[in-house]
Amino acid sequence: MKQLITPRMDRCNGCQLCAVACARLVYQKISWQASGIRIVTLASQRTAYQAIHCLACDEPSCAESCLQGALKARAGGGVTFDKEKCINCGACQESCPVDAISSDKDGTYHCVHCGKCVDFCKQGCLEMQESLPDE
Amino acid sequence: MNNDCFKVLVVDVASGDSRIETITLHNCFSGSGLAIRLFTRYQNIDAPWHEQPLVFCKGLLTGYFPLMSKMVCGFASCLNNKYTESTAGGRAALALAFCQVDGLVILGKAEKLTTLHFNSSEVKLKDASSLAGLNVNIAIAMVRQRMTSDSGRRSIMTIGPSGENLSAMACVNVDEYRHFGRMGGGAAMGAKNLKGIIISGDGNLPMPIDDDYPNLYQEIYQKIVDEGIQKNQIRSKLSEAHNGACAGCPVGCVHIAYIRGKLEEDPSYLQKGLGIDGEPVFASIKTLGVKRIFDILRIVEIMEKTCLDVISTASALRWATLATENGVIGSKETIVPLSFGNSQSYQQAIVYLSRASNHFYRSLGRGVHFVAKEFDFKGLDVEKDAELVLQRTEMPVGVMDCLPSVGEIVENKILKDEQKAVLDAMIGCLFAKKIYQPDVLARCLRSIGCTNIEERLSVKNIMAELWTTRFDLGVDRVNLKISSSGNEENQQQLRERYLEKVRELYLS
Repeated sequence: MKQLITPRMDRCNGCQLCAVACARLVYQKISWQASGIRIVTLASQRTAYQAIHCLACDEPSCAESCLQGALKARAGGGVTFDKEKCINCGACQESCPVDAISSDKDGTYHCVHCGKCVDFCKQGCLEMQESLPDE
Repeated sequence: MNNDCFKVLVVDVASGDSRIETITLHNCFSGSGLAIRLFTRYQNIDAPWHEQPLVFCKGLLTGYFPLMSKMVCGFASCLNNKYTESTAGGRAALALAFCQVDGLVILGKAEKLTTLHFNSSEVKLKDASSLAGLNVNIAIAMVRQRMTSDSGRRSIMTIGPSGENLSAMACVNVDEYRHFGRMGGGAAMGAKNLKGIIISGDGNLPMPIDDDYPNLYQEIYQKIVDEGIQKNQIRSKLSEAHNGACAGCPVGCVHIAYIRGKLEEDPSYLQKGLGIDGEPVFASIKTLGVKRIFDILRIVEIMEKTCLDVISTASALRWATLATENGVIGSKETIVPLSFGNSQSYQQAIVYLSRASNHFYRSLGRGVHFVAKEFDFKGLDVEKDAELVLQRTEMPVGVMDCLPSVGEIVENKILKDEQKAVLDAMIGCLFAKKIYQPDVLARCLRSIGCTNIEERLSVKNIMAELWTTRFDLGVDRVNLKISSSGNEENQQQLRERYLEKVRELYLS
């Protein structure tokens, strides 16, 4: 199972097309927030931007916190997300150690490692990588 | 989608009141068209420039398609007391769109220096007295520190000391590397006592229901990537480190160069990133005779910090240098000795200019024409210098009262203006010209649910509306510049022919 990684964020030019693509193609929104990946500005000498997205935990705390069963641990890391079951309680957001889940009044937005954002990164910052096999 | 209804956030910074107004404008082509209509709606007739509204607008396609990522700023220029406009990229247009408004109108003058913050649900005015006189870099850092949670979705527009001092050369910095440049937008903001405008785009836009939309987006994006976009290539020895992009645009036209400075205590160094483009290079080399690349970058750095427009400022300093060479002014006025190629002096003079440090710099800050009259020195190049400012003015087809294109005959000028008109009405990036041909634009508008597309995209309608408003706002013959070639008599003839043609084509 592949997962999204962001190995070359030093190339990022802040165009936000990855975030906009996720919102449009996965969540049917025109937004840079209703998205499984968000780009934030860093005051750093090394890189100007950081991608906030799911790091594909093997035992995702967001899934554990979801009492509705909307989030389920995915083979190879991360979660699958059933939007129909989500009641937008915010528990997953609270539990995520890397603040990767965004929300608004309509729902929560998770990276489901589909890779759609990768196609819109002309800079080559993003990549889909095969998950490492369990030891 | 009712695309004749525009949601506009109106903020009176004097009273602190704000409201959302829904305005119905039939077949308005959004962007610059909306800016003009909002300006005329809220203007104080017969009042001076600093009492006029400050307007920011996005285009109809902003957020929906790549490269549609610019914002237009409409204001009355302190140079001539007349309506003008400028465009800038960065995140501003998308942030405004995600606040679910089409335009922002700022009225009144705040009692103290203030920052305006808003998102899709609330508007706040904050005391910014402590930011008075601060350069743009520090002001942005302070604003960021006060609102860390909005990183990634906010746009920060600030002015520097030049804007606070109402300099005609003051620009508005947008997200560090973009600017509302010419015609004194910074002064228009300074006149409102506004140090910064922070837009947090925390909402969404409705997803178009048209089946064509997803495919069309993909098609346009692919075309941009496959065919490449003609970028501004800076052919120089710049130590260019990387490119930045406006939100929603894959082009990445912001060139960021780095300069490395030595600290007093050897061997410590520091490194600074600077946005660099053709304009500052042009301004430094051609206008000021500064040729060494790191000298140019240092001039750019000071202009960035003080938030002065590079082209206008370089022209003003050129006049001051010529006046110095001719003995009209001396070190009493300029404080530092000015000479072409002397980067150090120019760096200091820029700071004096931004701070209006003495009577001379205050006058210089009012523009070349003003200072030339005051000191009764036109200088050999004074017309040319003023021309430099005017020629390089960004001009989305709006009501800019100075028209560029040196040496073009009227017919060519009309043709060029028409070609630009439609795309500019959408506030698209200039790099979008090749991709967004009229048929593609029509498809785009249709896909997001727009109606009356033919009327909206009619060049004749757009030009008719622009010129009607232009004449209504009193843009007169005297200020029209069509070509810098020829003497004043020829200029007058050209202007008259141009206006005659305009009336015949669009207003008859």
